[in-house]
Amino acid sequence: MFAWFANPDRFMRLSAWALPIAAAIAVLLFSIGLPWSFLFAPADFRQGESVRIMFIHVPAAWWAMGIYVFMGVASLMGLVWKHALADVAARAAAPIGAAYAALCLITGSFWGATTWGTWWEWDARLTSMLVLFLTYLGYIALWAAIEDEQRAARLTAILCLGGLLNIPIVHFSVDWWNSLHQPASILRSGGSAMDASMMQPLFLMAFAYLFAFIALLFAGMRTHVYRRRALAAALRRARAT
Amino acid sequence: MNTALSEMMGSEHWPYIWPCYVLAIAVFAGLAVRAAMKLDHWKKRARDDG
Repeated sequence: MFAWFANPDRFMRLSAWALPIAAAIAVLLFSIGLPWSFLFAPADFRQGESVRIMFIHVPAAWWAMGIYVFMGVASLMGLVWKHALADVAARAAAPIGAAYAALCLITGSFWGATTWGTWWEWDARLTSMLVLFLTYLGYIALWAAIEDEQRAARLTAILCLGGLLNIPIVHFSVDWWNSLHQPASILRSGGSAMDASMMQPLFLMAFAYLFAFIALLFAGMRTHVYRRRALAAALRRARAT
Repeated sequence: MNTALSEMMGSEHWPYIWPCYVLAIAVFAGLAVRAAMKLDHWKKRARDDG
């Protein structure tokens, strides 16, 4: 199946109609999810109105980790099976993941300021999420620093796979260490501790973030395919003269 | 809705809530504009050079 998707021409045909559909779904979900979480979701009995920050913060945290895992799988496919679009997919996903991680850190900081009384603590969850954000930046910088794209793809894939070690640390940090951050309240054994009135807008926002990622990923991948075609054409012309 | 909004705006958390929503909208708008501009640029380059 992956070999079928590895064909750039086939990907360009598929993404030409999938991209606008994903973008339209993302816009629709955001146009429902944002007012729902901002205005209509109930205030929490303990956190009060500050719980509204969670609808922005939590999906950003989930997908910042999810996108990194996606990049890890793509990097592995690029390294092992030389999948023609794997490095393109990982490279296109990185700026989106970095933006999600930054959004998670900044909104988490606002939530911490109003709930804990501090903008930042060198807590295991916060620090490991900061490490994830810095790994994204390192990955993007490495791509930009190496001119030979095949070498860049190999080295960034190795960096990405190394960085995967941080993902379980981010997720389990609240269980492994004494943390200021609350333990998992949704994805945990024994079921969710959250009421449906908050869970519904939260999952709606999570799907909005997902479809935004898919649309942005397709746009980024198409950009890199066009870029490679333009650079290859320029190289052919330079050789001919 | 107006009552809920008034209650939220009167809450001590309000100065911390609205910047998060503004930031989220700005981040997604920024990502979309950046992606559209880069796609348009390289699509034209590939068509003109190819």
